[in-house]
Amino acid sequence: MSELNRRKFLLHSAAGVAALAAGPAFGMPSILTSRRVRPSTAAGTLNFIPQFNQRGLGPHLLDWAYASDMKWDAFHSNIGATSEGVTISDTEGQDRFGINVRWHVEGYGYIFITADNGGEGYALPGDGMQASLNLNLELATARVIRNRGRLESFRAEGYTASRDVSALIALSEEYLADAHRAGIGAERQSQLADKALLYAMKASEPLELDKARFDIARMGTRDDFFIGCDARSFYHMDPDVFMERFLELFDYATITHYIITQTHGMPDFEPTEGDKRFDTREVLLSRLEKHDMTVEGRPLFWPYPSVTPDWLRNKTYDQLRLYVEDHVRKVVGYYGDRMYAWEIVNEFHDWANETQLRPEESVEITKLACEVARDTAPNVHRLINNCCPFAEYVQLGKWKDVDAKYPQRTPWEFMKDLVDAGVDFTITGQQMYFPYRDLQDTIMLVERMQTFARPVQLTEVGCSSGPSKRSILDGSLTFTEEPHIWHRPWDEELQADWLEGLYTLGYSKPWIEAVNWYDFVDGQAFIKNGGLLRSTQGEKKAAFERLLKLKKEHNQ
Amino acid sequence: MPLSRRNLLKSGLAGTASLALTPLSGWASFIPRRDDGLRFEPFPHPGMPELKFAYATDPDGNPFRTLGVEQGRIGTPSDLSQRFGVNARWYVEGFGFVWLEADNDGRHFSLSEPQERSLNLNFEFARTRVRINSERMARFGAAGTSFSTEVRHLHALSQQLLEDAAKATAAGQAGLADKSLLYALWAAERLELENAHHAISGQQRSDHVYFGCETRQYIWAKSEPFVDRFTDVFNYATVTHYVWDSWYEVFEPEEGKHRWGIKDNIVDWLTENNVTIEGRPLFWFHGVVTPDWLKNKSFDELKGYVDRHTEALVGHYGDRISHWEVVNEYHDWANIHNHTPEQITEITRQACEKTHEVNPDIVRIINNCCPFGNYVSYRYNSEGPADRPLRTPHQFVRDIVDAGVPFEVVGVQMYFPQRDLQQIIRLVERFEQFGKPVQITEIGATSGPTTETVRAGDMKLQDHLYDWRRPWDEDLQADWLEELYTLFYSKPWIEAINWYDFADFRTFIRNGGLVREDLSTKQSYDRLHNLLGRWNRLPSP
Repeated sequence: MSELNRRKFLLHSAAGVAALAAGPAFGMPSILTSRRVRPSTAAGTLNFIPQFNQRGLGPHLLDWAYASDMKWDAFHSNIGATSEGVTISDTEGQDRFGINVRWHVEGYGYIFITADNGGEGYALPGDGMQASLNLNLELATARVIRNRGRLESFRAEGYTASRDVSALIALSEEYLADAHRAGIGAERQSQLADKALLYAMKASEPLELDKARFDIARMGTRDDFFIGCDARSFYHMDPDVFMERFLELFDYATITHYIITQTHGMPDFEPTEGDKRFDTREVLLSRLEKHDMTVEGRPLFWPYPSVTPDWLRNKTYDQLRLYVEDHVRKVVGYYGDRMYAWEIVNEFHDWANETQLRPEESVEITKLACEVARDTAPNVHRLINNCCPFAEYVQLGKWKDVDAKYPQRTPWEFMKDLVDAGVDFTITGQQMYFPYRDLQDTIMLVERMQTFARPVQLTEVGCSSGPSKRSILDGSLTFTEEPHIWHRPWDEELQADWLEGLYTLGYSKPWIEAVNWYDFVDGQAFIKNGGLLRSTQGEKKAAFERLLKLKKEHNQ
Repeated sequence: MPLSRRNLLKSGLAGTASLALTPLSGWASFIPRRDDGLRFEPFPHPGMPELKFAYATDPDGNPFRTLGVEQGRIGTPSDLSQRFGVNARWYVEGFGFVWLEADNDGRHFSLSEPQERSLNLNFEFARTRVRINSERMARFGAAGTSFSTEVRHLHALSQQLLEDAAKATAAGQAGLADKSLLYALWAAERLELENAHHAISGQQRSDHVYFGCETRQYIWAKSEPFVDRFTDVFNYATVTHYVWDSWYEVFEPEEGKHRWGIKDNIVDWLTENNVTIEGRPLFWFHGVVTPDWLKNKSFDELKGYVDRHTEALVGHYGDRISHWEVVNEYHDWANIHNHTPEQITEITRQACEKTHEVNPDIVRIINNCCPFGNYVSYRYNSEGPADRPLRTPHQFVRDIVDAGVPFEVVGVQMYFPQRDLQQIIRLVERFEQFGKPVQITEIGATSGPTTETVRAGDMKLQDHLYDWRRPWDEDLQADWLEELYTLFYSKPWIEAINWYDFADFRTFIRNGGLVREDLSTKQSYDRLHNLLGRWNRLPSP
């Protein structure tokens, strides 16, 4: 099986993950899984039957799906998706649930959407029973009702919807009512539901963005909000050009300290155990400090395959504890208060786990690292960084490339475990590469992180500007034959639109303290063509200009 | 160097705009003074290139002159004595980069009427489109079309936003007008399609309708899949007879010496498959197909040639070819001899009469390109700057009808014209007044660049300034085809709809074929097949 890294997951979630789902992962016996011995939770079968009214080649429904609980956390189940529909008969103990499918909303995009029975959740029919629902109608109902709820709560905060937002919501409501009136099973019902869904989706984002602008206007300029980016491009381009461009946009930078690095264009930080190479990072930090840049070091611990040498991978749990304690003390101690924050762990919730730790061990390691960091530099923030916000991997049962040995947690569940265990972190970090979700889903997912009563950073965000002539010629990014994901095929302006939307939403939430774009320059980007500069020559893309404009509008 | 239609279509406005900015002898360009005429103040989308070109149309929709643009503002010359509409290509985010008209609520603007001297172009575009939608909905509704919730809501929203814009301060007006325009454009296409669907289901057309395509690629793909795919959907085909054409061996390398070989083969193949054949063209006086021996003829010499050529071609095929395109693009685009309008009428009449004389059963078609006639505004034809005012296709057809030129069918080409569907069908509706059947003689739109065409340097990547709805792709090409065919089929006076590029091999419109170069079908082919199936219009096996 080919390696699945996060970028491939993000870029090719449909094809790549479908292949995984279809592979031996689900049927493969694992040694320690509780799944093999847990009592039977199978019940009757609930079918969601699609009607494909979409034109075009498709696909219109991705061939895998996942279930989520009533908090919206993904959980493992036997859910499956084919052109016949979405079927689920074993929720592994969850009473009520929603389903999440990637569905082609013609005129909007081929995007993940949740159906949750209008917020009530579904329940499986009794053992041996069958029940069927209209997928088109369920998707539309969920989104229309959700918009209704969001609008209601926004109104309670003094917001008045604009003319077009109100009209689009009303249109979706009317179509949904028509669809329900059309009668179960009627072909017309699905067609009407599709219209309801389309206009509900078209309403969702303007609703969220209108509200965000309303909040921003009411709040005024924030002096507690960082606009950041990873600074590794310093090593990829003329440092002076880098500094000029970087300083134009950002007041926050991350400096990476991967133990070893295969693709990030920076020298290994610790090629052999104990041999920590600060020199290269020091050059960058010194340059940034001269401009009063707020700097975050990252990560202290990221057990991900491409950055984990065998000497670390093969440690026992006790050895690992010793290493982490020593590593954190030395690295945090080296920089002291020069760093604003340290990313204590990265993707440790249940994606990066080369060390194959049990859930409770991950919590312990995180706790240890936080305590050592606090002891070493009490003024430096401790950030927990999580990827894969919608946690599709829980359904796929993967720690990156390998089968997960234990039931997996979503980022939110991991953070809850940390809080419950009294782990002393000070910032909740959530990556948000374009998640194959619209902006309403995106911000609602992030809103859940408020629970932990810490400032939230969107630690790494990014999306592609689509194929360029150069990427087509070198084969690094070419055209896709799938329907476009969001609004239209990616281009530089659309990348800028997404950036503007996400930053606007982020800025409007006083509990979000930073939004950090990840890729500064194309060519060395994690997300192909996800940079804000076209090349190391420093040509600005629309997203660069848009962020600059946004900053000016916010008086930052 | 002649300006090819493809270049005109490809460059759209960029090309013509730059032409328009070129100083031309005898061409009335001007820079508006601030103290005369009307000024249209645009507030363009930030992603739109600077507005550099605009033109005026008369109340019948015919372009007649350019309008000066200075620092993005459109001005009007003080000697503009007739009523006019203002046309510019405009980027509507969420819809496309399309030509729009502002027509002052249908009354058109007049410099002699008292009104605001400075107008908000965004607002004027929105006002025009909302009003057109209202009128057409009322008309279609009176004829029995009932509109969907979607159309009613979108139209109402566009009206409300327009009202809001009218009441807004200058600073807020453009933004509200932009929204109004966006929803008006969405409503415009949907209402036209709903009306067309209503008409189609009500009419249940039983007349003979031709669905055709050009056949020149037969020479390259003389294979079973080509033959099968073609005859599976088409009951009508055109066989091209350019005098000088690099596609085939040259048809008439010397005057009067014709090479019939491949054309006879194509005609035989089509005849065997019961496909109705149109020969085309008898006369297309365009630089790219006109050898010197023909170009250098005097008017009298040309008249002699017209008789001989018509006799040779029409006579050669006899009844195997039932339709002939008598002239192509002669309205004022392809006119290498620089004929006057009177000479054009004379040659056209002679060719039509001769065709009838050689075979009285032939259906004679007058084919016209560039249907919106932008070229008239900047006085350019295929050979370059013109030394007299030019005519639009509609004006040309009017002239030859008024002159009693005998022909049966008005032909209108409709390559993607950078216009929305409502504008297209409204333009074509204007040809109904001549009381003759209309053929949509050539249609095409690209399915967008592919990795291969970009690598080969044949096509550029599309950017955010997409033409229509989103950047072109195979699905979008199919959408355009399906929706345009639906509009055309709903009109009982349109007797034929002909796609031009069958395959993506040496196409006129890059990647404009219905099948790929390997003859695998594209979405557009499959969509057409399904559409004709639904209308029970597929050829009998």
